[in-house]
Amino acid sequence: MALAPKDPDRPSADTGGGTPQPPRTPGWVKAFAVAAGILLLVLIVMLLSGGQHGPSRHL
Amino acid sequence: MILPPTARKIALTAHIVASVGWLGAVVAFLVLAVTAVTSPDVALARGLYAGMDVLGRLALVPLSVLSLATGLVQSLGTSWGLLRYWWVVVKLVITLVAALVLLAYLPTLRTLAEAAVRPDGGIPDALPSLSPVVHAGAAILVLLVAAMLSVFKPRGLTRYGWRKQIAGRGAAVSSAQEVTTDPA
Repeated sequence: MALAPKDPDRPSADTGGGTPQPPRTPGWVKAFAVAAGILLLVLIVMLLSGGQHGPSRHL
Repeated sequence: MILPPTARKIALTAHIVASVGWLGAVVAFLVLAVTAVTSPDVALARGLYAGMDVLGRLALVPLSVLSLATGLVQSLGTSWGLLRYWWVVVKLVITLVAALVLLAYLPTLRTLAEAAVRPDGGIPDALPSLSPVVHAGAAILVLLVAAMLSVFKPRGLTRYGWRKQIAGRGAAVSSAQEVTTDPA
């Protein structure tokens, strides 16, 4: 899941200097969550509308 | 527990091999699924659905479990941690969901394979099925995203990771002060 901790690509200064403040959720994480939510919504709509989805529903 | 360097490299190798093997097995599965849909050869299509069932149970499932397990070892055994960085968390979620969907899809694969090998001459009405093609295509996309996260490691500490980092800095400062004030 992760590379070695000494990896040169490793982020090391996410919180910046000065008074420590909790980091904000990165934009790419928010975008990922929105995409996952939309996908989940589509699947739920498919299931509720009697669509052909879900285990063993194909036959 | 932080793994020593050699153990960490072995764990990383196992994780890469398992994950790449999983992706490769899904690609092979997609080839079978597309061929089953497009081939005019009925006997070939029947065999392909049976092959997809075997591939799913004996290759995809073991490799997915291995990928997940080695990933957990790799994150917990290094200072990356499991919940400290967003890219690790997102990759864990992706891998977990992909493995669970695969397990949930096995009964469908079995049903398709059983329908395909029924000795009634032709192909059942439900076959050929686009379902394996769609699922394999989605799996490849998801696994590619996971691979890209591992390579690019987009920045971003979670709140948990941030608290750990602050605590680590505090401990480092305390130990440094103890050293400087030590009369010996």
